[in-house]
Parts: sequence; C-alpha cells; structure tokens
Amino acid sequence: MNKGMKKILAPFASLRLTVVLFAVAMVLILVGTVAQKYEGNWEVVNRYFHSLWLMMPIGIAGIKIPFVGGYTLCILMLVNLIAAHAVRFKLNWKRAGILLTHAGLILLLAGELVTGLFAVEWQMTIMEGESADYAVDIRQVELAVVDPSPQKHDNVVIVPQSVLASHEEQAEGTGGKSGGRAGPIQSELLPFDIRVVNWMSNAEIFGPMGAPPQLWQNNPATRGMGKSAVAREVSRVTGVEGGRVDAPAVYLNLTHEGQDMGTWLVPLHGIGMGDPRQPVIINGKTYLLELRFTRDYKPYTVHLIDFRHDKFVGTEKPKNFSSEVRMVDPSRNANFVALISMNHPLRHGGETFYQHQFLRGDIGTVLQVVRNPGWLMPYIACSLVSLGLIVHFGVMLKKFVSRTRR
Amino acid sequence: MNTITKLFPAIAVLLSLIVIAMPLLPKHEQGAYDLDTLASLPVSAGGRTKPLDTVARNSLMIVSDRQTVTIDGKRQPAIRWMIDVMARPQAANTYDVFRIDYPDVRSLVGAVEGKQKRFSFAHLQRFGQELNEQFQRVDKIPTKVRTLYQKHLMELSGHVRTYFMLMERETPYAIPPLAEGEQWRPLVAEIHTPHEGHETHAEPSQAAKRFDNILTAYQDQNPDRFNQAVSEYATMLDQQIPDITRKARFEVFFNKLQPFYQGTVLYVLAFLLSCASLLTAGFKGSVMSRTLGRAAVGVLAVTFILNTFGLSARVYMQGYAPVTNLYSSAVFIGWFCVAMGLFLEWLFKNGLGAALSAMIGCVTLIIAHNLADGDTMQMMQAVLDSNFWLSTHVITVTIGYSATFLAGFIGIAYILMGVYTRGLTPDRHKTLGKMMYGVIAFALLFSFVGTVLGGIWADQSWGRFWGWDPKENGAVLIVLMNALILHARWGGMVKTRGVAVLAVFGNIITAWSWFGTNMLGVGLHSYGFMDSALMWMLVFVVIQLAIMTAGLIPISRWQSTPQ
Repeated sequence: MNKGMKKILAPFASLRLTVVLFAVAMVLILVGTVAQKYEGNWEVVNRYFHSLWLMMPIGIAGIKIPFVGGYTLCILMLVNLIAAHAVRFKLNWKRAGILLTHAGLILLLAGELVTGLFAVEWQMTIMEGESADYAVDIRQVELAVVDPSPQKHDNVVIVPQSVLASHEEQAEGTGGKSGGRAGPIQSELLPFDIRVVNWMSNAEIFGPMGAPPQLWQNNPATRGMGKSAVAREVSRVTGVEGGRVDAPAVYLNLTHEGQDMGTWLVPLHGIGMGDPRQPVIINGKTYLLELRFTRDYKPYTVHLIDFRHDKFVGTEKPKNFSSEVRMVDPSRNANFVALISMNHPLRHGGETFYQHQFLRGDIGTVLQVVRNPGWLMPYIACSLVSLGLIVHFGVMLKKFVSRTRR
Repeated sequence: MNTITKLFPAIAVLLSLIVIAMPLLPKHEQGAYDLDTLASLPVSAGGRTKPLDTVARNSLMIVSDRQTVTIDGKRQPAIRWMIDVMARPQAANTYDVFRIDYPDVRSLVGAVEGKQKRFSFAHLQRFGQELNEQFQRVDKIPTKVRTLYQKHLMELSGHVRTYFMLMERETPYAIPPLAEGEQWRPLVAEIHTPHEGHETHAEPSQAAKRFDNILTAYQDQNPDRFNQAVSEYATMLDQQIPDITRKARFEVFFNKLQPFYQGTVLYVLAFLLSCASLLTAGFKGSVMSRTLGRAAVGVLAVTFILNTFGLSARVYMQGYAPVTNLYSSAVFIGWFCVAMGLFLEWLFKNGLGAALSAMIGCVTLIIAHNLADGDTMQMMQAVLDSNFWLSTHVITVTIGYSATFLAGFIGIAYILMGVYTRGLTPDRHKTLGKMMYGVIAFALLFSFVGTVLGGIWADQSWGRFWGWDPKENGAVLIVLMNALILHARWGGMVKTRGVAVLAVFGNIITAWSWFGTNMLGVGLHSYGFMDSALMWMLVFVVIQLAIMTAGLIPISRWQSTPQ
C-alpha cells in the first residue's frame, strides 16, 4: 500500500477508536437490555440494534439524547478493523491468530446484517391429522375480507396492518394519536368502503359481564360481535413477557354505496371458541370479515401425522415434544416423513422448521418456520474466531510460561 | 527448619479432612426406629428419582428454611419430620415448622410480637378461616402486581400446600415401577390415607402394600414391625431395581456430606492461612511465610477436591451438566476460580493466586447458600434439556464469568495492596500485571466461545442465532469488556494500574450479566429471580466503584511504590 493511502487510513486504524467503539457498544447494549423491561423485544431490537441512530432515554426526567444505533456502530467497527489491518498488515505467527479472529468477526457481523435484512420468521399451526399450506407472521396482522361464494376456493381481499393503522381517524378532541390520513379505505376489490374508527395495536376484550361500565356506554360498535363485547387498548407486550404477542383489535365502520353498514369490532382471532369470521351481508351476498395474523402461502404442504409431548413423571414440566410430519412439496418433487423435535429442526427448501409450541390438550403443534439465507455464517465465523484466539493466546502462553519457568 | 514448620501444612490438611468427615458421624441419637434405611428408600419427585431423605430435606427447607426440626426440645432430622407428617399427622401438626417472617403475615396468625418465627400447623389452623379467605382473595391477583405482603402470603399458602401434599401422600411418587409398563405413582393412587375413609378401588400393588405397612407400623408406634417392614421393602427394591437404590443411597451420602457447605469453612481457613503467609512475606525468604503458604495451598487443594466431588456427584445424580441453575452456577464459578488460582499458584508461587481463589471460592459458596431455595436439583424444561449444548455453552460461558471475576479480584488485590499497604512491591506489581493479562485473555476466549455456542444452541432450538435476549446481551457485554481491556493495553492507553481499574469494572459487568439480567425478569434465560439480591447487587457495585476510585488516586500518593 502506498504511503498516502496509509496516511489517510491511519486515524481510522487507531486502537483508541476501537476502545471507544467497544465502550459505546457496551452502553448501547446495556440500555437496550434495560429497555426491554418497558418495550417489546422486537421494538427494542429494531430501534436500538437494527438502526442507524436513535434517541436514547437517559433515565432522568424523560430526557432523550441522540445515540448511534447498532448498524452505524457495526459499520464503524468494520471500518476501524479493516483500516487497522490495511495499515499494519503483516503475516507471521504472532499476527496469524489476530487475523483469523478478526476475519471471523467480520463474518459474524456480516451474518447478523444478512439476518437483520433478509431473515423472515413465521409460525405454522397444524392440528393432528390435518395439513397446512401457509404460515403466519405473529408480529403482523391483516384484515381479510373473504368472499366464500366460489365453489372450489375463496376470494380474499387483504388489508395490511400498516394500512389499517395509518387510516385511523382522529378521535374527536384528542388530536389523534397516530396522526394518520383520515378517510376511508377504498378499493374496487372491496365490496364496501372501510373507515377505521379505532385501531388498537394490543387490545383487551371484555365480555358483557366483565367490562367497566363507561366502556359499555361509549361502545362504538353497532353490529356483529361488538354488540356483546368491547375492546380496550392496552400497552403493547414488552420483551419481559417472553412468548406473548400483541393481540390487536379494530373498530371499523363499513359503508356500501353511501349506505351505513354499521360499526364492527374486529379483534384478532375473534371472540371465544366459535368461528372468528363475522358475516357482512350486502345485497344478499355474504362476506366474511376477519382480523388474522398475516399469512404467507407456501408452495408445499405440511401434514401432521402425530404430535408427542412427554412430561416428567408426576409433574407438568415438559420433558420433550416432537412432531412427526409429512412434507409434500410438488415444486421440489419432495414427499417424505420427518420428525421435528427440540433442537432437531427440519431443513427443507431454504426454510427451517422448529418445534415451537403445542396446542392445549396436545391436539396439534406449532412450528416455527424460518428463512435465513445467512444461517451458516455464524457457524463459520465462530470457528474462525475461536481458532484465532486459541492460536494467538496459545502463542502468548507458550512464550509466557517459558519465560516464567526459565 | 524445625519439625513443627515441616509438619504444619500436613496438620492443616489433616484438620480440613476432619472438618469434611464431621457431618458423616451420626449426629442424632439412634432411636428405636430405623430412619436411616427409610431415608434411603428411592422415590420420584419433581420428575427425578431420589431418596426420601432428599424429599424430606427439600420439603422442610421450603416450609421451614432449614433441614432439621426441633421436637420436644431436641433437634431431629428432616426424615423424622416427614414420616410424622405422612403417618402421624396429629403429632406433626404440633411441630413449629412454618416459618413466617413478614410482619403483616405474622399478625394474621396472631403473632405481632415475640421472637417466635416458626409456627405449627395446629397454630395456623386456629386462624384457618381468615387465612383461607386471604389466600383465595390474593390468588385471583396476577402474580406481577402483587404487593410484598401478598407475595409473602402466597408463599405461606404454597408451604401449606407442600405440607398437605405430603400428608395426603400425593407427593412424593413413592411407588416404583416394578412391572412392565408401570410408572412411578403416589401412594394415594393405590391406598387412600386412613383418615379419608374411602374404599380402595383396586387391589394395590405389592410395593404399595409394603410401603403402606411401613407407615401403618409407624402410626401404631410399633418399632419392631416398622423396622421389619422397612427392611423387607428395602430388600425387595434392592433385588428388583438395584441401580436406582444404589443411586439413592449415594444421594443420602451426598446429603450428609454437604460438600458445598463444608467448602465454605475450609475456604475461609485457606484464605486466612494465605493472608498470614502474604503478611509475613515481608522478611525475604521468611520460613514462616512459606510454611503458611504451603498449608494454605494444601487446604485449598483438599477443598477443591471436595468441591470437584460435589459437582461430579450432582452430574451423576441429576444426569445433567454441572451448571443447571443459579445455585450450581455459583458453585461452578467458585470451583473454576479455585482451579485457575491453583494453576496461577503453581506458575508464580507467590501466595496471591491461593489467597484470591480461596476468597472467591468462599464468597461464591455463600452466594449459593443465600439463593432462594438452595440446591433443589430440579429437572429442566424441554427447551433446556439438550445435554450437549448445556454442557458446552453453559460451561464455557460460566468459565468466562469465572475468569472475568478472577481478573477483577486480582485487580482489587492490586489496588488495595498498592493504595493502602506497602505490600505492592515492584515484583508483585509485575506478576499481578501478568496474571491479570493472562486471565483476561483466557476470559475473552471462553466468554466469546461460550456466547457464540449459546447462539448456535438458540439457532438449533428456535431458529434464531441471536435474539438480543438480556442474558445474551449480558454475555456479549463481558466479551466486549475483556476485548476493551486488551485493546486498551495493546494500544498503550492503559498500563497495569489501568488494567486493574478496568478489570474491577469487569466485576460489575459480570455481576450484572450473572444476576442483574435475572432481576430484570426478562427473557428466556431468567431462570431464577431473587428479591433481596437486588440490594446485595447494589452493595457490590458501590464497593467496586469505590475500589476503582481508589485505584485512580495518583501513584505518587499510594503507600506502595510499585515502579
């Protein structure tokens, strides 16, 4: 490398910068950990770690200061690391360990970047003896308007969560909380216009008995489930409540050609055990209204042959669970039986299926389906770093011991 | 060198062996009933096969916060309490075993003043109606929003339930699977308790009948029949399930030996010896210092072997890797620090490694004993039940914790010795610097590998290599801290003193990721939550910060002149 280049890179290659970056990373991680007591794990991850910068609360009087996010820090560390090696590059035993370690670290950071950008997670719920051809994203919901009239299939129009949330009307006098574009959701695909009266990211549903009286008095719903139940917005699930997810609900006002079709409460999964879909009849034609987790239809079908769940004798503690499934994938000419259990996932077609949960009474299974093109990178990275550290400290230890014992 | 100095280390080692053997001697006078054989009968509780002795000790520990019970002014073993609860509840009901500390709960059972801490079941029954009303009321309140009073009340409710389950013979699962297709089952499943008055629905199994004979004989206060019934039953099990009975007997031995408990005393002894050795080292080539130092290493080695035995015994009994809960992580951290300390002692032979590791060993055992329930050796949830990852990830990461702590304690020794004593000679300054550097490098390697192995385990379990879970974050903080110290040293930003100050900060980071994240109550890894621990954590942090501040005083004003 020429001298001019080195001069430019030198400031970026300083170990002082490395130490500062480590310290900054520690602060970011520490605050990002404590924040999980108050916010959802995914919100925290997106705001603190998968971000360029953020406003960080300092814990005093709600004051927030700007701070670097995970991505920025990652980039700075990479620049620092690469510049350091460019400036001080030398190949000998003493440096070999450091080189390996740092190469591994670059790969590890790159892997996290690939995961952050490209990995997708779904859940797939299958009852014993039944099959599933779609998975759901439990962090996103969608409003489905289903036309069940065709013989062999349903016609479904989907309104994504982002559209619902951004079309929420400003509540009178409160100035609105989302500042959304008021106005109905209209489309020629939809049989009616939809006004989002109230969108709740996470809601508590009360039956006729349990609800506080003032909630009943202000019940906006005039049709459907909302006549026998009310929803109240509650704070979103935080990272502390591991495993729980938000259960959104929405109040919708429907109009068809200017005619008011009533205000409906549409909660995630409906209410109680019955069919969660509410019928809306327009000109004698029935449409079904449902708020559900966002679906992703797959080119394959997973059939659950058997679900097993063993407990430790005399306790409710699960000892193990496993799902015996048949994977049928015409697009890949695959048709085989596999056993998915804890720590023994099934990998197929770029996706990995994990035993995640089970349905009460052991009547079905919940699989976690993950597509992560970078899944192998941490494995390679870890091996490189470990090897590098062992070589480096091994060389040091050898020298050290021979010096002290001379 | 005279004979006494020559023999002194040997005497110290002998003394510690005596300390270890003490609890194995019969403590309680042998009554007419053969309770020892009863104690070693295998049963199943909490999903694990164990001797009745363990069930008795754990249950009594839960209810009473200790492992013995006072009956008629005499200390009696837990098994005596247990057989009374199961067979003679009318007697057991009068023993003061229910420990109640919280003032408002105490006043609920009519004990506003007075020193009495433990109350009998009969005493509680007198306030039964009110207690039941309170239990039912609080039970409806979600755990998260309960007040301190309500938490303590529910604790008492749980203790009463534990007591009932024993009395009703629902726990433990006493009847072993002797025939094909059988499972462990409680006695009540086959033979109803006498005071219930139900008819038995099916012919009970041979094992159930024999177990019931034991209880009936005890109930009738007939020692001869009792001893015969116990011995017959034990012989039958020995013939049919010899592996299980052998393991149960071993566990009784383990319970008696209490290897971790004894360790605490011995570590204190080793620490005092090595401190004395360090203090007398002022006179160059001091014979006394060397003798004391050798004795310290001897005691430390014995304790280390005892600790090693304790950890291996846990693995044998539980069938899991040595670290499964906070208790065992504390024990393991101490154990590994001692291992490293002994290695450093072998390398440098200056008494510092021994002194520090004895101190850490002692402190970690005290922490372990003060954790909520002690060592209950519970079975693990399915998600955690994968021995390969448990043994690799948890052990490496715990070794990382240990090494970071050891480096921090070397830092503390460096600072305190330098600031407040003249003991930090240039020689010690040099060795302590080397020790810290080596240990931190080791800590970086293990905390990094351990953290990444955890990621791989997570990827195998639920498809997420890294989830920014608080415990994962805690582990990566340790990695960053160690990396920071090393890079700062390589870059010449800090020298030995700076490394010492930073290493002490490493203590705070390690304590945070070990305990602090559990206190947050967040995430999959929060396996044990402790109430009062928060206070101790703060005390610890303040002490570390104070030591760091002392370390930042300019060297010109230190008592020692290290350079």
